[in-house]
Amino acid sequence: MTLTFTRRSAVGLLAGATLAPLAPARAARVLDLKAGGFQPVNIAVTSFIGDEAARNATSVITNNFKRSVFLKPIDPASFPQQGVNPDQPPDLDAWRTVNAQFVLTGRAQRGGDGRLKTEFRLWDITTGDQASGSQFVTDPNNARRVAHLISDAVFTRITGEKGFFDTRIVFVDESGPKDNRRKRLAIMDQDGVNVRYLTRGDELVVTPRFSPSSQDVTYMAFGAGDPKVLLLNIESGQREVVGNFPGMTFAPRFSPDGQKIIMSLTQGSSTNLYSMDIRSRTTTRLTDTSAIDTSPSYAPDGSRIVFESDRGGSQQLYVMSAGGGDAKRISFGSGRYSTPVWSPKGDYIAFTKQTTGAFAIGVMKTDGSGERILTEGFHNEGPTWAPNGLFLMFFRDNGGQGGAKLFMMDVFGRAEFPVPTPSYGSDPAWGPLQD
Amino acid sequence: MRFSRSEPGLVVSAAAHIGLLAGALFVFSEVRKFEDAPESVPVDIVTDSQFNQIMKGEKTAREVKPKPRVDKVSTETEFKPGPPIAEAKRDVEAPPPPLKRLQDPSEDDAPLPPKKTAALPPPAPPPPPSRPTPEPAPKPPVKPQAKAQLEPEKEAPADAEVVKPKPPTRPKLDKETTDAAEKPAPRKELKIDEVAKLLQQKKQEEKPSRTERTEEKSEPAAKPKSGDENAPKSKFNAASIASLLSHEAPQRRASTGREATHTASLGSPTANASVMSPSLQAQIDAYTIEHYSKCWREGLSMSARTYVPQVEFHLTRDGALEGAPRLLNPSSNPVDRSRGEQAIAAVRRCSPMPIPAAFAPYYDYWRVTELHMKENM
Repeated sequence: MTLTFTRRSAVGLLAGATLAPLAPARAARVLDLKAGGFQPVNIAVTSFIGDEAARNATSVITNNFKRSVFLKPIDPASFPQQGVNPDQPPDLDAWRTVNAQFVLTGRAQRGGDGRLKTEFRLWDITTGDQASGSQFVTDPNNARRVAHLISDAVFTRITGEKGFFDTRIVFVDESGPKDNRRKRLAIMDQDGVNVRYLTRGDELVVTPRFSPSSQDVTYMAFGAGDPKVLLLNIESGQREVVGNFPGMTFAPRFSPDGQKIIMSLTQGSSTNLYSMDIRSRTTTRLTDTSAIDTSPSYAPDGSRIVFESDRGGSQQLYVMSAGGGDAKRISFGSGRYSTPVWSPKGDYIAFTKQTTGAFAIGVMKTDGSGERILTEGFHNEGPTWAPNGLFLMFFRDNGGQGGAKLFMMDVFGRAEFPVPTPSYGSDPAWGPLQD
Repeated sequence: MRFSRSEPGLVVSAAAHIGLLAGALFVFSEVRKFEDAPESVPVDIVTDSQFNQIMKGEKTAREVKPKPRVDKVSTETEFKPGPPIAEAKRDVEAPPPPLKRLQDPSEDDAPLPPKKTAALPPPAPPPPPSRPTPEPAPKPPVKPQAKAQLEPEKEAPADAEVVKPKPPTRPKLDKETTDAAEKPAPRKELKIDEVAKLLQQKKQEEKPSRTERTEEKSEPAAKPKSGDENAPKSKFNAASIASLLSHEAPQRRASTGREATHTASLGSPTANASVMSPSLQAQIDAYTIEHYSKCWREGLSMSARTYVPQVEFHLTRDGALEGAPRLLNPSSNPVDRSRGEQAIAAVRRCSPMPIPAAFAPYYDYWRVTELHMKENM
């Protein structure tokens, strides 16, 4: 038995020793409280003071919170105060009547130099204190990003979790008739704004993956010859073939440090996993089987790899060391598992599960336990994690003449939101928080 | 069978037996009743310490002496961070419900014309001017002169030397008022009636200017006459009520609202000897848990599951938070830290906790609570 002598107990002993003769120290009664059902935190996003930039910031932030699941923006119609001065604390009692737990106030104004100054204050209504506050001075073109940064700051302050609003998404934009789709690589903000196309659409592209550390995207393209994994720099538009393999390479993904790309190489009847160091271009063979090993994904610490393989007869998920070696099967449910993705937090693995006539998106713990199906339907596929590991994005095709659309949901499956895209979209890849 | 004198034994024996039996029949006929079983009386054994505790309230009790009434109740309520047990004794002396008394004068004032209420505050100061103070008397007359001679002063330097220091009329007034406040003696010389008359005069003769007053001082004889003339006209003069009521100088004591409204009870309020039963204790605990569960919600993320915030908070007798709730096991992990904040916010949101009357006597039990706020799963 170990006795821990903390400062608190020391104070308690001292107080007890001195007060004991006068009044016996009354110990606090200790009660256990169990949490009730989940309820989002009510936050009031008051309209920022200022011109159009302020209005835009307010709407962007409110829209972000609406899709955050954890934060629930209060209907502005019920606000007890309009146009709250950000320099003064809000009327606490008035906001308590509408059950606001936090109130966000702010201002966005252009300075004399034409730069946009945006400031915000987050007020904790239960304590009346300012919970957070800062200001951003930037070019007016970055107004939306500033709004995302504020959203992240507020989200982080309230939940303690990293934000995910100031992120971008790479996806495959699909346009044209169903039998002759034009597939272009596109990038946009996580709320579906600022869409930019990265490829011209003259070749078929699939499975884009965002580098966690740089402005690079890797994807698979069907051009002339064998389909190849390509590496594309978003800013410069420069692209190159990854590795110099004979045969088809596909299902690429970056390592957590962004230094390596792991992918599948098909040679003959067998498909194995390879990793390539981006700088030195050296490649390493990780599996050597006669089965099909594909869709590899690193654990966030880079020590292990989860992938799908049919080495046991059907498509199942396996985990092995990042350097190769024995793989351990982790999926044992009925159906076929594919496209495993390790959560950036390291606690869960998301996957696509195919049962007869339905595709489902689910998560399981890294040892395969605690499997939960989050959504199920005609065709759901390609989960990708938000950088904070709390949200998943995937694409869904309900069949018929339509195409696939992007959706996002929280890891608990509490809520699901469509992600707007110009036309149909598939294969989303959630990028990291921007610098 | 034949009776023979020589052998009387049988007969004697028979007679003796019969006599004995007959005697016994009468002697022992009255049989003592069995005593009724004594009715059992439940007896509680009170230990010395318990007895002392019972008596504690009365032993330490002081007589409730009505304090001078409180005319002013500070707007700020006293905030007692520490346990109120020790201070409870001080509260014992708090005055009997003073609030009602306070309202009475204001109600009386209400019907009065606004002008008079406006004149009310000054009444206390005004009496002084009528005091026969020899020193200030000469000075006041100078004021009107000074005012009148303001312009001429420049022309006549000789007068100016005398007057110059005096033109600032304010300081003089201040002196007078301060004198009035410092010297209660002259006030005693005046009878209450006189003061009232003076006040009546003043109110009825609202127009008279200060110069007239100064003249009155010099000619006190003229005043009473006018006062006497007014008095008989109406014994009950609405204007005089206020003056009669307010001749007692307001005693402004620094007292808080709590003190002013607190009615003393015999004995220290914390010295109650009631002992809580385990079932009641469980009731109080269950009630507390149910109350605070309303505000404690499932965490926002999965990783916070292992952390259980422990929040300690103190309640006042009415169930309100006393001081801020305290997190006993703060964490450096940002997610856990935010969870801890949520725990504190939950306690704050659910405060005050209404205290059922049945729980009120056991304040010592539920005063300090430590909640271990767990996750649902």
